[in-house]
Amino acid sequence: MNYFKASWAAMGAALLVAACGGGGDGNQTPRVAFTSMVSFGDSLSDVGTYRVGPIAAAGGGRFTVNPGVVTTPTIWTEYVALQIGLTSCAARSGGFGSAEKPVSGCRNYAQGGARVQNPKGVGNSVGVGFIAGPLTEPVVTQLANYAADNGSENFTDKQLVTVLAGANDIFGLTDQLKLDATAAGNAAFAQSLVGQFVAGAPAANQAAALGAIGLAVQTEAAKPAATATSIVGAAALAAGTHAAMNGYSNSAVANAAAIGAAAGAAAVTAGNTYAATTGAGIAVAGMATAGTTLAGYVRDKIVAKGAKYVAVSNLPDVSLTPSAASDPSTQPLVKAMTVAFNKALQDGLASTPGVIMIDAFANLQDQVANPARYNLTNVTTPSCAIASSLTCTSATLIAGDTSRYLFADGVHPTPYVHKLQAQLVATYLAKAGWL
Amino acid sequence: MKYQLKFIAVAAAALMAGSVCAQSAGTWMVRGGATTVAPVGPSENLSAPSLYIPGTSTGSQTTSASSTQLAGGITYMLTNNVSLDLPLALPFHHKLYGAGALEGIGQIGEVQALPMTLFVQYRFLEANAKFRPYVGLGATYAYFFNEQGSGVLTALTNPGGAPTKLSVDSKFILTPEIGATLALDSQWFLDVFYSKARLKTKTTLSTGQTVDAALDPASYGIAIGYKF
Repeated sequence: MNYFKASWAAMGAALLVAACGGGGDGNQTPRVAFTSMVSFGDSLSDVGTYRVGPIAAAGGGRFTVNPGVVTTPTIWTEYVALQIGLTSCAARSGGFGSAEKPVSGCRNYAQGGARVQNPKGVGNSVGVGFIAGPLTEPVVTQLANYAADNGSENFTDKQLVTVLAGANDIFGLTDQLKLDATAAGNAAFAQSLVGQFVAGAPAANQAAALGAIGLAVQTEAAKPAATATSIVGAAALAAGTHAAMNGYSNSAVANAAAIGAAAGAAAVTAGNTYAATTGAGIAVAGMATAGTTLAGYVRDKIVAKGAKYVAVSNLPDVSLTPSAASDPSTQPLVKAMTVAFNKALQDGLASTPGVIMIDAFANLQDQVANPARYNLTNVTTPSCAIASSLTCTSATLIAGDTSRYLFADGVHPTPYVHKLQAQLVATYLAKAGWL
Repeated sequence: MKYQLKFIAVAAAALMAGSVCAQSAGTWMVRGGATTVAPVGPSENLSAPSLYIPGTSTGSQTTSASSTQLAGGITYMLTNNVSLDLPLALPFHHKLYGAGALEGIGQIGEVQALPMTLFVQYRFLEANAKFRPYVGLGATYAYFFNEQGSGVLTALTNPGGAPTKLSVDSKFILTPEIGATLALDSQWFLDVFYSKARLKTKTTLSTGQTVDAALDPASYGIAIGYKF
């Protein structure tokens, strides 16, 4: 009986406690006591490398809608760092006219425009040492920067390392593809043009005419101001001149306009064919190489150097960005390049201890396919009225409520979507038992 | 251990004893034991913004773990067959885990529940029957309180920001039950019961997001009681 009496008393007390119960925060401490967070990558992780000179003066520095107060978290790396009781601040400062300098105590090495290995990032046609625009130091250099700041290449077992790069390799490789396709088109144009004009000469004169017309086309095409019309004109002139000097008649000269049009069509066909076949193959293979290279950096320069907590994000589906969508002819290629990179990255990091792979690719696809799930009001239109979000602020937004837009500019997400990305990353960290 | 030994002794004594005292009109009974409340899971999807398993309609969900607590109750026989029953229990602590797209994420919070029920029961067979099954229908106020978030919940809903709090709506519901008593001797008896309620609640986060859940808890318990 005594036992039950005690029990009832306890229950009565519980009822009294219950009456004045209230909610609480619970345990907010992460399961792993991280001492620092180190980030490598590009503009998607950059928290203000270029917040200098004219960029800072314009209120910019991050590749999104920049907040009015610089310390306001805006990029996913900042949200994640705050969640584990740390901060994410740019480890390098410079570019856009300012010399590069390290920022003491800061460990976010990501730089807008940066590629995996190639120092010629987006906006940097010079490469190493370029400070007139974005520094775009690639991930491999960012790792060297870390080693220099840290006094050692080593990581500790209490650091959270984040890696997200590769998008600028898409832009670099597609830019190269466009150049190569144009070159292929130009070559086809010249070949078609010369061939047609040579065909207008009598058979006996064709070999000599070929030399003269070919030289004229080559010479004109090499001029910076050359146009298709000027090249056609140069070819027609050379054909006519060669005929007059050698006492024959070239029937093609009178048809110069039609010949030019035919050559132009041949050029377009050749350019497109190159872009769709050889060029596309090179671009996709280039992305696979970049993915493999990045995976190698993570394995050899991060995990092998002691890091135990490494979060690697794959590339979001870049083909869904407004920039890619604006060119439907290359959109499938951009997707193929993204997929090739992600597969190589995934394969290269399979079962690497301490590495979790964050599927940003599928997440962006779901955001675009089902915007309501994420409270997104627009998944196609950039919210910034200016081309690059690097200097975008609330003062340079398009009209209307853009707070739940997906994109800030042609390729970068809004702060709202950065927060969603942080939540996605947090999900993976929590599932791994790190949060 | 002391409790178990006592229980076995009483049970053995009951089997040997031939006479029992009736659960007749005017009888008061008290009992104490343990009750388990087992909600079903998982919840529906958390309202936007909510992460989904890519390519599916499965979003961020939660599931409530079952909870076992010291519990008992007071019964008053209105007639030889009809009784009023008031279960009493310490608050049930339910841990909330991630489910759906959040499967494997671990504990995201905790809530205490105090289901306050008044049952009207019908007890079959004679008042002095040794074994009396019963059915009951209760009016329940499912009271939820002392909800606790977690770092994981904050990270999922407001990373880097203020800790996310949660609040579970309390609800009035009807609870049907079945049970039985087994007289152990003239005063002591054993009571077992099972109930299954339909309970839909809405949980609101301090971020403004909500998640609906059909908890539809099953409750079952065993208690040893004493008749006056």
